[in-house]
Amino acid sequence: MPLSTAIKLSTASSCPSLPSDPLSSSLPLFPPLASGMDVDMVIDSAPNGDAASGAASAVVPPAPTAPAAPAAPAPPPSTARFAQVSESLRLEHQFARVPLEHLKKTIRTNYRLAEKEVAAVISSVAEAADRHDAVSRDDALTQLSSLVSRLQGLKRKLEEGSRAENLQTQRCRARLEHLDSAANTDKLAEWKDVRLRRILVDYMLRMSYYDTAKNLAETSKIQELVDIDVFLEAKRVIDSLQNKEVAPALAWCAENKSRLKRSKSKLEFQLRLQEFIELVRADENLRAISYARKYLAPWGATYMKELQRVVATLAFRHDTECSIYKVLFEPTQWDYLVEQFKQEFCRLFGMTNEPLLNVYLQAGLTALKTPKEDPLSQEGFRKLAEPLPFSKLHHSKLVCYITKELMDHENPPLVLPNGYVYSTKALEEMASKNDGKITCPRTGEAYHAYAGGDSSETHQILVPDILAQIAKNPRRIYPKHRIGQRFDQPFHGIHLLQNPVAVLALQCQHSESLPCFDLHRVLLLRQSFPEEDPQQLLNHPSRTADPLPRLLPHRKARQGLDSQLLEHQGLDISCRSAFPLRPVLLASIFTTCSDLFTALTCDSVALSLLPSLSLPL
Amino acid sequence: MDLDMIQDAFDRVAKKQKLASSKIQELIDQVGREIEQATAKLQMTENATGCSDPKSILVDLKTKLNEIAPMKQLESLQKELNVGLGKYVKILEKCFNPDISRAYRNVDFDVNIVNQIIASHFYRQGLFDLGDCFISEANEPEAAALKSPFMEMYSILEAMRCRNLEPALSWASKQSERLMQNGSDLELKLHQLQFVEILQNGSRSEALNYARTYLAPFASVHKVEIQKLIACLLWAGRLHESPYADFMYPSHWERLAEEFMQQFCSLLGQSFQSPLSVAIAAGVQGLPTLLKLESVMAAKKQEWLAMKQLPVPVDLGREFQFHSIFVCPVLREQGSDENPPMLMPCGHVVSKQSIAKLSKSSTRAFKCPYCPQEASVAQCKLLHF
Repeated sequence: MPLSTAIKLSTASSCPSLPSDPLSSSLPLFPPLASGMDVDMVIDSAPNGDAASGAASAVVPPAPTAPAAPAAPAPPPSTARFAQVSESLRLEHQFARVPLEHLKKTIRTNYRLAEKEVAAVISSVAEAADRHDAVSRDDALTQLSSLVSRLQGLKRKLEEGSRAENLQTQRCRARLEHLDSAANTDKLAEWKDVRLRRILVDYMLRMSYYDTAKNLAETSKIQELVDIDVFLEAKRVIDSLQNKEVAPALAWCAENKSRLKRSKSKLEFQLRLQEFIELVRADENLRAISYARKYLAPWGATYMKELQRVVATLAFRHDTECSIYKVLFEPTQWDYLVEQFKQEFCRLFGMTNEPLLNVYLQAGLTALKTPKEDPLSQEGFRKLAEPLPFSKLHHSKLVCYITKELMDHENPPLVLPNGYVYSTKALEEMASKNDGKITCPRTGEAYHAYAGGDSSETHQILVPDILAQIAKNPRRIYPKHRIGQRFDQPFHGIHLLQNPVAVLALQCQHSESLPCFDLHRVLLLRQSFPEEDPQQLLNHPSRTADPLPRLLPHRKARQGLDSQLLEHQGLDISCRSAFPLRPVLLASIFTTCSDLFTALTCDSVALSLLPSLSLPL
Repeated sequence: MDLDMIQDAFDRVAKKQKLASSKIQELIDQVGREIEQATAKLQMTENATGCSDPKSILVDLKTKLNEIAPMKQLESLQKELNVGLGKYVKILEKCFNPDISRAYRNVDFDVNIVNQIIASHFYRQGLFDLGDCFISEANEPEAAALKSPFMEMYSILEAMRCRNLEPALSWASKQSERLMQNGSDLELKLHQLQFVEILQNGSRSEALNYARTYLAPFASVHKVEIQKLIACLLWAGRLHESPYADFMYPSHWERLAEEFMQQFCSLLGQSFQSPLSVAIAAGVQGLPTLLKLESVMAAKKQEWLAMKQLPVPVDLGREFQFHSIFVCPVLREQGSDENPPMLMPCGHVVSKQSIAKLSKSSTRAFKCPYCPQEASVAQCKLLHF
């Protein structure tokens, strides 16, 4: 019983492609949605878990708009990281948009100011010129000089305004440059740290923790990268709303009237409604009615029902018990208004509705969540992650308990007899440090690593080699003619493992210089000298003398086989085997892997030779 | 993402904006000049024989101003600028993902929990003032309890930075059992560094005494290290000439500081990296996938927000792989306590449920789906990853 057998990794390179899965019909199918989503399993020889680039293409649906991207082989780590970075830059829309919106707003304000003043100047000139009565010179002079001073005032204001504009342009540029600097891989960790701080500042601002936000921005020197001044503007309005004053909010709506209209916002309407309710609360019904006529009526066309409901409060008093109308008088209405304002504000500036922190945190927790354990193992995160979904995994990702490294083809998992799995590296290290003793860290049971040189031990060591070699060169194993073959699969060294001899046969085939029939000699040599490298064995003809007495000569058969093979393959005769084949050995090869034989030799020739050997098949 | 293109577009917009604002200034100057000319003319008529009538001057002024038509010019300038700005906004929307909160599920994120997480993040980074300020603004007085262990850690680190190992040594000796349970030789390393320090100051006997008191307990386990240190005694005061000069490298201090932080955090029961930064970094990697999923679902008009398990994998980099995740290759489902991985004698691993399905009666042997080897249910062994 081998001490530890390598576990076949059922990762991409050894799993069958979906259509030929013999069990697919008897197992639950994926919901139809998912089968549309899943691309055929990526059979790549990349190490376990490095399918980050493949993930993005695996989500591609068969929809006409999205081009179907072929699953690319895993790119080298630096370009993968770069692709990740540029992918994450795409999420920074808010970062680039907000200063732009601010700039637009400043430009608009300046323009309106200029427009108003210039229009006033021109119209007053026109008015003076159109007056019917004569105008005295002094009057004219005073008027003109007042106009001049007005224009000068305008100029000053515009100069200030254009300074503000320049500052904001500068800020836009600085942000674009900051995004550019993410390409600099040396400072990537710093850049990521800055990103975390930016996200935190955004959170503080949205939750109205202005002092902390300012503090954080100053200590990290990221004032240009965050939008504190934008939020301070909003603060004024929010404070006033919390003080139950509608005026600043209405002024804000007036400033941004056209854009609010474009987004069909009803913030102004709601503000007016609240003012109306306040009037009713104060029992000033007449004023309320005239207010309604003036301000609420224009909105009636679109929001008639709501208007009716609110106006009906005239009939009730503010301490009414009727629930429909009572709720309108609650102070929580003001909180609702604050929320509405915040949303409109964010939308106007191109910001997300939710704080960036929440968005990223949710995505992160979803990605990290597993059914068994919470990876961050903290109470708070577990609670937050409760309502979130898991993400589906296609491949196992195994992490060694001891070294915390990924276990893949280079570092395959090994199982101890008690069923616990660790990586090869960890176990080898443990064995070398403790004279071959392995102690399972989780159960404390001890085993010995090198149990007596039986073939099973070599079995263990062989496997990783084979797997590695096969992984490197899968095509060579694929049989050209599959005769009597049961599976549509390439060899993974699996059935070979039952027969160490056959394994070696395969190993030989990899080396270009060995023509096929030397295989036989090598097999025999290997039986006697298990430690030697096959190549070396061939060059030591003296060694070949030993096994002779045990072999049954079938010289004729062997010669026939050899020459035919030689002929067919045009091989060099010089390395002819020096001793005859053992038919039993040959038979063992043939019976266990007939397909293997066809793969190893040239196809039809081998088969035609088989009857001449009169061997059982 | 083509940042150059965006930057070029923005430069164009900025140019337009500057042009527009300078033109407006010019315009105003022009209007002002006309008015001043008119004023001058009016003043002239004072001295002259009053031939021109103030009214006519005004009328002249009006016509001149109408010729300049400043309003129209203003309008056209503004329109052009708006067009440029609009184009830039479109470019931004194209290159960036305009709304990353599309994939946001409307679940309640408990504000208190989030605030506590943020507070502990600040304390872990050593930003104590900021943390206090945050707590007071966010009204989370309980979070202040998180402060004290980190304060201790940072004070020890400060001392280490000034090359003073005393507080670190006292902490390590207090926690020596737990450190050894963790398999860390922090205490030894601290003593080593202190030894080297003493040696560098040249006092051999002091160093020897120190070694006798503190390094002796470790002698049985770390013989080689102790041997090297004792050999350094020969070069007291001129360690840089010895073959063990690398004991002097300042990088030892940095690495020791890091290891100290790691051990400290693990003894506290917390991970070394701030969990908030790990979660956010995972979110940054996973969010594009989620957004793509959302857009696909929207196109197919399917509801995905209520799903317990997403239909696609959200792949993260290797640094986020904390625990083994076994996905049965047959069922494509994750292993769990009810459905653990089982090892078949051929070496392949599938989940218990698939084995149960493969062998419909539990006595018959079934074939492994990967290799033709037969196995029976009794031969399959439960695996622990």
